[in-house]
Amino acid sequence: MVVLYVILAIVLSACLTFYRVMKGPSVSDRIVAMHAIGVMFLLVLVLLSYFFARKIFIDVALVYGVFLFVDIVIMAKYLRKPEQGGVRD
Amino acid sequence: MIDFLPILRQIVVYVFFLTGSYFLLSTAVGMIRFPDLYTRLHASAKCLMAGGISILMGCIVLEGIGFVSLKLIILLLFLLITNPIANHVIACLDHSNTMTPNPISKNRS
Amino acid sequence: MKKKLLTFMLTLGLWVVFAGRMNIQVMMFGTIICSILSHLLANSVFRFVHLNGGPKQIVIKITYMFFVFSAFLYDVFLSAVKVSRQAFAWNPSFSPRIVKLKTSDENSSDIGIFAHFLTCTQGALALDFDPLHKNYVIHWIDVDSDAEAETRKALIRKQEHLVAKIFHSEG
Repeated sequence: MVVLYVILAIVLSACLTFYRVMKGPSVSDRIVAMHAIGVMFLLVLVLLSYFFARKIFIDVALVYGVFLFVDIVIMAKYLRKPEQGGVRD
Repeated sequence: MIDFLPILRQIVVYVFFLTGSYFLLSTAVGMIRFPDLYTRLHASAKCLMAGGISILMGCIVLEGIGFVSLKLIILLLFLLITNPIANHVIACLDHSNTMTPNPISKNRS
Repeated sequence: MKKKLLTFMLTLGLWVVFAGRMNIQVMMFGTIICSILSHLLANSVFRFVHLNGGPKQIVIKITYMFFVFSAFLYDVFLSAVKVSRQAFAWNPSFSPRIVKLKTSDENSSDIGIFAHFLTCTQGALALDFDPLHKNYVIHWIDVDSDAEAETRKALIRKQEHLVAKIFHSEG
């Protein structure tokens, strides 16, 4: 029963962080806020495996973490200026 | 005679979950209230990492010894390695975009 | 040969953890895959690590790395408490400052590892690294005077010494 309250607290903090995604002045603000929301939902996925008593969710969380990291690095590589080795013109 | 070990484990799990929820909530509040991009990166680097580590430690204590807790330890090490790298990559992007370009790299391209 | 054996042990351990159960077929399949992987990747994994000591050297180095990791884990919690107190304060008082810090390391993996650990220390964030003049660019959140900045710089130099011992040849 404790797990449910912790899940509700994490979902509340993710909804509060979504304000910065809506109203970020620059692109980097939105990327930072989306990374924070991604890590929070990874923790929700780990806690849901105790709530539903299924062990397969933890494997899903591992693959989700790998894709989150690759996502951030590729976005930062893409948005650079071309003098510093970026793709955007 | 009361058995002390399950009660002790339950108390440790409660403490870990409480500190994790506090740090994640402070991440959300700091992400709204801080005025600059770099200070927001401070909130996203430190409070998020501390919250994730404490919630995963609570899950490890709740689970006990087994293959699932080994997977959780690998997830914790992965989060500890990749979270500073992601924040550093975004900070490096913003810092290099606001600087004047370097003449040597300009000649090379 | 030693590098291939070490890579084989590491990948087999990861395979057993990810498979989730111990079985004769799982172990045979894992042995085939891990032998191919260790034959291919053995030189590129240990390119930056200089292992010229005996097996006793490796044990000492692994325990040293464990202590350094736990010390930085403790430091993450301290700095998270400091930042969260700033977040919940009624009227927060920031004094951010960007500083260049010169380093004396030559090893490139050393510089990378320390720029990773610099994010975990108290109130500091590594922004960039300049490879021409060899200095880090650091952003601090709560430094308001010049005297405090000097003490912070001395503390960072001490931590840099600790990290630089990991990849040294004599330990």
